[in-house]
Amino acid sequence: MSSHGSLPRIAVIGCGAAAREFCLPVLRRFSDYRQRVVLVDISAEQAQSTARAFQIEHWCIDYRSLPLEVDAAMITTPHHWHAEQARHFLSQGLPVFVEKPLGMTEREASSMTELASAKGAVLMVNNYRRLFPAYQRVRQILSTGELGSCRRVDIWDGTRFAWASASGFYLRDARARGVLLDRGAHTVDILCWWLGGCPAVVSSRTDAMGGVEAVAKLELAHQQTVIHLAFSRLERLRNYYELQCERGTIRGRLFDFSRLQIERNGKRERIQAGPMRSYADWAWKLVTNFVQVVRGDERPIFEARDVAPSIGLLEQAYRQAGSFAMPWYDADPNVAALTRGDSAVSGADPGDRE
Amino acid sequence: MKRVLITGAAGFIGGWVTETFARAGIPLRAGIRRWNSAVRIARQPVEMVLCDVMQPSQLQGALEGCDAVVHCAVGSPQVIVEGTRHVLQACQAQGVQRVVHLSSVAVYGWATGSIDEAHPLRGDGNRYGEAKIEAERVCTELAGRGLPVVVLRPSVVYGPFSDVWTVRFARRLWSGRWGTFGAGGEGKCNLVYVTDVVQAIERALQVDGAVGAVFNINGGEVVTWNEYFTRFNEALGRDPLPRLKTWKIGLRARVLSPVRKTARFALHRFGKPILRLHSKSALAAGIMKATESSLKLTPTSDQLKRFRQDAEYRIDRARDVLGYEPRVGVTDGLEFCAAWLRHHGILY
Repeated sequence: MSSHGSLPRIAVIGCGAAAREFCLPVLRRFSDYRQRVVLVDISAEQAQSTARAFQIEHWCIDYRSLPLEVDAAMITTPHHWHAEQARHFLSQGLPVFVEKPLGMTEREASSMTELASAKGAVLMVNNYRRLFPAYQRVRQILSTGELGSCRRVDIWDGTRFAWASASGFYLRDARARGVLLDRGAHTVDILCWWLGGCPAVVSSRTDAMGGVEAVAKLELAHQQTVIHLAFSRLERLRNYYELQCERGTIRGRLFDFSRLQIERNGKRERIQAGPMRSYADWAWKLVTNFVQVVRGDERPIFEARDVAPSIGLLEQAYRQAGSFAMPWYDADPNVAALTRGDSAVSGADPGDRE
Repeated sequence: MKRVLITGAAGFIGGWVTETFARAGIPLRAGIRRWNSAVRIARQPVEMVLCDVMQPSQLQGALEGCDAVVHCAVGSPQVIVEGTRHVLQACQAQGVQRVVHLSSVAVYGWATGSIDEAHPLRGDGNRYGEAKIEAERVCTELAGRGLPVVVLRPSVVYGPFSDVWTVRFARRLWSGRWGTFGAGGEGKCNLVYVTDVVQAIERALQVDGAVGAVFNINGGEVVTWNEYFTRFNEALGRDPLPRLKTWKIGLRARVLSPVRKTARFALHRFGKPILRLHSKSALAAGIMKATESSLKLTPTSDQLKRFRQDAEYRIDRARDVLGYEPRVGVTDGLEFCAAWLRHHGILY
């Protein structure tokens, strides 16, 4: 991308980690970005400090009263604000880019995509894993039927949560939901994209105990395919996918964006599907695509309506979610004793007893 | 108690205190240093606040409305000593009624034999142990000014969410490249299950006679390191462990020691470029993975020394004064660990 071109006027709503790590590093490659970006954050302190860090002139605290007329909006606020804020800009016919997940519910997602269609506005979402060459190759193999139909899918997706959350919203507020919406927004979307349709939820379990879940396991079904997904933001899982098809098996590491392996007729074939690139490079590529779409130089690589069905599946998984058996809590005699008040809280001082 | 502030609430022991107290309905405020560390405790609806013990202004806010503190936060030696000072000074300023300070049996250094709380403190060159001794001195100093402090010295605390004594050893056992150490593994292990430590903390908060005293907190069953490895291995359902050649392991530990130091330094100084290289070069990623695996599966020289150390930490005082009684035996504790490890998909 040229660093000399003119940047469209863009409002960046939300000045947390997503804006700082994915949006602003791309926007600042344009020479005039300082005057053409408006930062918006409910916290004036956060907006101001981000403006200072990126040397951006305009900032405010309310996306409904911007100090500058804009050509597009990028929304990087906590999930539950996405729909309302996106609709505000879409209703003006402006292109909008939303951080994943697109919305909290299927209804929210469809309200955004329908409004975008009605207004003829582009709505994109940051599901950038669709750009990984290895994932694109998996989709190609499945859609061409090269290995026959898919019988079973297993995906493990988990790392320790390291998101540099500025507000703590993702952990403090049950509306944020947990790992299922966070990591599931990527993985479930990729799964639906690979299979060419949205599976049904067979079972769903999480470890939420009145707060936000950190571990979730789903069993899904799609036509002849049985699917098992495991998510965690407490521990690193094997971070691997395996798709067993009639005439072979596809395997790959979740974060190896370029390579995969196919096993057929007892032989293993390694495939280099694209160049090795870093994780952020892919998100930047999608943000760059959005900027070029706003400039009229490119078409969207994919749009939010392509991703929307996966939000419905995640909503269904939350509705059906049960709890795991966790004997390390439920069968622990110390936890039981404290819970029933059989402790020094209610008992006498041991010294008194003697 | 009106409300207990738990510092280091996102850590291993602090997390267990938070989760168990929350289940028991004990009013609490969970003090954490960074939001992204709070994933575990956020599964329950607990009140969380940013509480970096190195920032006295954060401590003041976190302490508001609390009349008791469980100080679990750890970190570098500076955080252990100065963080403790900040916590205790803030507690004194706000009139906190009870502080439970988590120290460690590391304060006894490499001492052997039957060790009670009167045993001399010696860090023996261990930075963690020396920092904990210094932090205890801070407790003594503030107690002298009227702050009601109780000091607990837990031994080898294991259980779900323990990186040091559970996850790392489980991975070693799972790898098939770990074993028993013959005479080199016959030192006493002094395992205490984490909720037994929580039990001791809860009693230290309540029992009046505890103020101003120090307590060793150990499990009820003293096993050797060889037994620990064997029983943990059984709980994980693995094939019986081989007996390792101690001289060979010792040599490997010495050879890898400079590699370990260099890797730690490089990650600390050049973390981001190393990660970039990892994501862009398959060869570099392969070398890094092999080195990491080798380091993780090889005990350090200090660990080998610990596996031989014949020391047993006595808990008579905790039994007498606190009414502490370990409830989770090694078999049950390891079963909990194995179930948790399987559930979390840590072993594969």
